[in-house]
Amino acid sequence: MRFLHTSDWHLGRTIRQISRQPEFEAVLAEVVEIARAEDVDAVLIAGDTYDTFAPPPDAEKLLYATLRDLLDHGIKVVMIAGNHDHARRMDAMAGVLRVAGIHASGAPSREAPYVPLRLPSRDGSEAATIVALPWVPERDAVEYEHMLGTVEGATARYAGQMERVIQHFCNAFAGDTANILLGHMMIGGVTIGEGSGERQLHTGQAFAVPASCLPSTATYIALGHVHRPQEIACPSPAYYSGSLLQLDFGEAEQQKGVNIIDAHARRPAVIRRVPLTKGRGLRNVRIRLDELPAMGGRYTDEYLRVFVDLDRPEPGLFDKVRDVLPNALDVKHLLPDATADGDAHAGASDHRAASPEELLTRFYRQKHGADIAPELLSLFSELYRAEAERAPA
Amino acid sequence: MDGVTKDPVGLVIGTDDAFALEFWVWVYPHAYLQLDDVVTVPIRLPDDREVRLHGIVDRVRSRYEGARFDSDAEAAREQRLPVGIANAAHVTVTRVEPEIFVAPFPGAAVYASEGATRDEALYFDKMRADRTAFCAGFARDGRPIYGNIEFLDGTRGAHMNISGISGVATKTSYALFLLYSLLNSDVLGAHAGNTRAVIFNVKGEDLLWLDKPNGKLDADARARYESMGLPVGPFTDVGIRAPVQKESGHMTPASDTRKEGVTAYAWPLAQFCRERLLKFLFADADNETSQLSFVVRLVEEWLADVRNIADPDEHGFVSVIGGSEIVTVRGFWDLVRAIEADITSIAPHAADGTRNAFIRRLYDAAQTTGHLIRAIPPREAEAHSIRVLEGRADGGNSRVTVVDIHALPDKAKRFVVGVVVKGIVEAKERIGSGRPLVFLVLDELNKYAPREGWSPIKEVILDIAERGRSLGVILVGAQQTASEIERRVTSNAAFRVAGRLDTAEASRGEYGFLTDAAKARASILKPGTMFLHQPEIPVPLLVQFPFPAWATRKDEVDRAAEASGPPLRPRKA
Repeated sequence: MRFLHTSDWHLGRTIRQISRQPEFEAVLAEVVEIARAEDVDAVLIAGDTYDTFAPPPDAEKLLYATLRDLLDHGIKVVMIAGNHDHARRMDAMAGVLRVAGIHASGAPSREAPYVPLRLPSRDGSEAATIVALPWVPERDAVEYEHMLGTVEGATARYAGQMERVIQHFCNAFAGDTANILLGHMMIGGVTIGEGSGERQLHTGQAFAVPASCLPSTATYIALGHVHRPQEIACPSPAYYSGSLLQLDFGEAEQQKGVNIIDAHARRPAVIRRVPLTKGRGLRNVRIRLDELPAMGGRYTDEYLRVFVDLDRPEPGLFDKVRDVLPNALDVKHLLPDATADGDAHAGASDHRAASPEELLTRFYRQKHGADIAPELLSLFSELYRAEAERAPA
Repeated sequence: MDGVTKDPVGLVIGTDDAFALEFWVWVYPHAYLQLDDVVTVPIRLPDDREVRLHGIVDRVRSRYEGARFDSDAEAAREQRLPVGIANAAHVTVTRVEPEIFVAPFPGAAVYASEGATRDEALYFDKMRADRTAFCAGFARDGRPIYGNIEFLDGTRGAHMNISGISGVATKTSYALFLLYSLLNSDVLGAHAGNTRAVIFNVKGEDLLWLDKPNGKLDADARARYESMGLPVGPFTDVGIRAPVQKESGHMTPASDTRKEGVTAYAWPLAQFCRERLLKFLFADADNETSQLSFVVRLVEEWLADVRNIADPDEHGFVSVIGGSEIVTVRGFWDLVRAIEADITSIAPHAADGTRNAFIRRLYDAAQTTGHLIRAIPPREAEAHSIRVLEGRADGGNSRVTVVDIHALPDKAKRFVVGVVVKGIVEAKERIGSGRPLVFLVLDELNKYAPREGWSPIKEVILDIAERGRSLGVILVGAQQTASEIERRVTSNAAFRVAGRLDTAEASRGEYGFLTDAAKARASILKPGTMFLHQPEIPVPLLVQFPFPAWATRKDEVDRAAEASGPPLRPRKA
């Protein structure tokens, strides 16, 4: 059987109040086209379809239009709730969606025992056993334990409970079907962050599931939650497909994509990463102020976060940058490292004795690496005195 | 009694002692017993309980009864001497059920075992009931011989060691048959898809074709596979990796007979530095504590440090920034020269002689292995790496990976084996689970884990021999003579297999698992026949295995069957 694995659509997401709806429409059309061209049997959506519990109508419309396009091509859909989705709302819809050929799972039912999905291929010649594990909130697993003890105890307990749940569910994996685990969770050892801030997140630092808890009998493990596409070192092939668009500047310049998986009983999965090309890119740019004029006309298609190296604070910097780079959504000042200044922390103990003006002067030097302008200081003194006189003794 | 011949084949004799664990059987004139036949003796005890003694024939003899002199043979043949011919078979007991260890009574009827009784005699009944039986070959009569997967997968034991003189192409063929049987039967259950095998091709290009059907397979061999419920065909989901061509600037595989479907492998310079692979170039370092190993360690640490070696650029070139001058390294020779230029500061306390010895050996290594360590653009590096448990997308999820090393010089062979095996162990440690299993098939084990001396590769192999059970890395090692192999490697193998051995070798202690009769037979074993010993069965069993269903040479490839293979899923327009 052939599957398309995607996740973390976050429909309804904006960036600095700018709607990304047109980009979502374009990239989902691209996903549908890939699914059609690859002739997949089913699309696996590993959670966080919406950005919020109460998504805007446009987002809902886009989701249902996309699902309908897939169904029109005879493609089934298996989807689970992520931490951004409203699990109970998804479950409320599940019965109707089921009739259409969409298997949606919001939260594991408390009433009925878990029954994994057995999904036949379109030609009926083979089948897949699909364990769909939506997001399990920490509070469900841990209750108030962290209030009683250490956080480490709570994270370990969460990991232990998730391990038992996964093992119990995955006992259903059989020798005569392709076996798929679809899950929305944080796996220990995953790489998060960007550039030099990139780091591995380990179990114990957060509510994460150790990779060794994942089953060794899965043909493929389709994960959602982390937006950076990556493979997880795990007993079975396990991938985060990542988001569709670069959703914030932490994901700048990441190549987004979907995975195509050929999965058959007792055979290793054949996995291909298919890049997505639609949507606007996000880029971090670092410049000196004097380089700014020469930047005109560049990066016309990307949203920018611009870091400007400055010697001193530059009033109106945002507008100056926007004049040259209209796609700049965010401008950061990079001032010389003032903490290197010897007296930055001097007198920290005698701040009670210092006058407000002295404190501001020190603060300004520490923050901006330059002396405060005399006019600004006298304005501050005037305002401070006026305020002090009004305050009750 | 079920599962035995209707009529007995003979009787327990009383002219020689019968013991609880061995006895002689006189064979009726109308019947015969031959070596490896399985027999059963049911006995009724005075308290009315029935005991079944099962055993296997390991010696047969025939003699004139009533003759006194050797020359009586002539008189008997001319019917001048009234003698009878007596055929007898020696039986070694394999199992007593229930466990009441009595000697069989002389005169007790002996039956040839079939079906369920044969399974009980050879402990196959329990293996099949527990679903832990895999087909390990066939007896000479064509009936299956099973192995217990629990002694191979780490549950109760692990590893297999195969000995036998070369030239009969038996050791690797048997290892491959076993793998084929494991991967295509039900014994691995839902784990079958993720189980991995890494096979080093050490001789010829025989193993580069195992993903192609064998056109020379006859109907008998087909029937053998089918009788075990195994498909008849080549290995599936195979990745074939050959070393990059020495003189080529491109990533072209150096395999003579096969080009299509073969991917060239090499290691990027940056990975060589960061992952401390230098020691595997000094795999013949004979002493862990020598000064030379110390210099190797220092250089390794120096190369691994980002303050000395910068990250690679888009061509895969790395810059040496920690040396006396900044150098761009475009190939392994550049790296050698950069190390040489700064060796005094890298290893300041080493003696000049040691430093010179290091540089001399580094030059040798660059000559033999340097082409396998080169500038590879980072975006192409994954495609040319040997991926077993990681990097599974885009062609990296092969179930069977064949790593061709046959044409490499010995030093380079050791480097490749050392680095690949280390990579598997490290990936397993990261995954932190004994499943899925990784089978590591390595012939010429004596090169990598010799009895004498120490080397970084021996250390990795020993590590697998000792920790592989819990890691889920199963070493299927083969060599001509087990006496040349580090004892801890052979002694950790639960399955021991011996093919044809010369008499002197067979008498060594490493073959203690063979009975005296088996040792004597080992020198006349035909190709395709082995003795298999496994912990549950007290005697080694003679196994045969069918002609490979996969090609072992280019001219064996069945072009017609290949063309009609499983249809590829078309991409819609």
